Amino acid sequence: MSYNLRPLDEHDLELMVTTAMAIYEGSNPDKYPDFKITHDVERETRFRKFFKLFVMPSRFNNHNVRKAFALFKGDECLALVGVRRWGHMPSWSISWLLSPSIGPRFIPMFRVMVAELCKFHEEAGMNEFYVTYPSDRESAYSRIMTPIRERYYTFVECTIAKNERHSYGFIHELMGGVLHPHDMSLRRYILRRENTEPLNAGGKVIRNKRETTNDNNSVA
Amino acid sequence: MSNIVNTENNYLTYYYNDDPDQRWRYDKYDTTHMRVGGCTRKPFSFKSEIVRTARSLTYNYPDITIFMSGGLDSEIALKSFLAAGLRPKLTTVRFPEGANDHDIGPMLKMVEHMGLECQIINFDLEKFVDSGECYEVAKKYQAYSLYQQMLLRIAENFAAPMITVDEVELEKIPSINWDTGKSTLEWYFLKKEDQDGVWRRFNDITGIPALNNFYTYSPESMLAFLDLPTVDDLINDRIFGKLGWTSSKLKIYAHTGFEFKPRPKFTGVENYLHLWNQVQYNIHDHLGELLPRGYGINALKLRDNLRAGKESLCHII
Repeated sequence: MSYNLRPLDEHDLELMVTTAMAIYEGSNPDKYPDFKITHDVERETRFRKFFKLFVMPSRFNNHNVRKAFALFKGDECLALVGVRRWGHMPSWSISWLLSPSIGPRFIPMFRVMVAELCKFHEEAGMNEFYVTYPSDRESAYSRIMTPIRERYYTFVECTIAKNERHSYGFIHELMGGVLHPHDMSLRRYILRRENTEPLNAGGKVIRNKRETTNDNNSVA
Repeated sequence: MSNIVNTENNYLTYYYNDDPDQRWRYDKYDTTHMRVGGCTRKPFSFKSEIVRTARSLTYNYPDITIFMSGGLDSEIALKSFLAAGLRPKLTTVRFPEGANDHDIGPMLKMVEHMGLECQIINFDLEKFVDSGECYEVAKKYQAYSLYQQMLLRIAENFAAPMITVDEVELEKIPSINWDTGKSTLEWYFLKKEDQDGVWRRFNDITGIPALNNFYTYSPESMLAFLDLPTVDDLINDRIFGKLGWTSSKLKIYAHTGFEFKPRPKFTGVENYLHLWNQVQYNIHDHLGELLPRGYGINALKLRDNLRAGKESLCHII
């Protein structure tokens, strides 16, 4: 059965809240820390308020600067994901991801979801995206993103020390505007295109030959 | 809730979360809305409409005082009152050591020449910021900018009906459809949560009739403005290279037939930009995570709705 990434709209708010509530009900509080995004007492209200921003009706100005998607396999909703789009550079970032799948079931689902999100945004001319994750999860994270690296360059843009605010506002915004109790890595992905690839990799880029320098004459 | 009518029949309102009575924002997830009601009659010429506004304001608030900024907007507003046969009370703000004399000076001379009196309120911005008073005002009314905080404190102390003259702000705004990447550049009618919405909150707390809509006091005056030939050329892109309306202001106000002398306009605040920035960078310690939002409605769409008597809504996240 094939996967299907469906953009969500305001009519899907109930689906999002119900799915999130179900995931949090049976979750281990250590793995899924409480969702403290607003000051409301009820968890359901907090979810509703937060998710609403990702499924704004089209009458709102800039309504799709944030967008939510659901990944389905047949009728089964495997994951919900929220993305944020950025205007200063055509790029996007994953804001949040909710899925009842864990372990081996999670990996193929996540790869399909990211590939579909990339395809969706490439069609809109957004060829870069950002992801944040705890720095100590680097190796697991690298493994899960292996197929994406075939099409995208990637590097860690910066590491944000635990409980510290990055001095650049954009990076702080990418961190959700909050401090994290552990080091966080911000990873950037850039789509490989003709004008980024050399001739031997199918692109059009001709690199300048590196000039040889006489080290004896260099200034220390 | 106070019954102060900011605009004719409160046709222009700002609120949060789909509730027209919610004037206060509680967190950053609240949605923000502006409602502009449609016209209920055919508008007269722009000049007749603003003269009518002057009469209407004086009828509703007989002691109303105009806050003169020293610029063209307040000058034309004053001339509308005079054309209606009314002699309004005037007041202006002076900063210490003549920091804004270059700005209010010509206005004071003009007013004197007209045989009118203008009350001067001395205001020390340095003291206002250094004492932290500006942050108290910011918190009290959810006001984000220093200029607005200053006006609110002055209005509080003034404690009488007053109007800070606004303008029908038009700008060409870029927007992107994030699902398709399609980019557009359109003319928008703009209002601000900080500059405009804040006066509803001020009225709510103090009960002082402080208004900030002269040119947009009635839907008909707004439509008459949008129908002016120069404005029509502007919002239909027939004047090359324009991204805002301010550089066409002289030409636009010339349609009223009022005489005025073109002159450079400052605000006096250009001498206090260091304070402006200081407040801007520190405001989040006092207002939390709230960031001010701007309201915008496509100018051509707004004009069509005003004409058809339909309301226009602006929704912001």
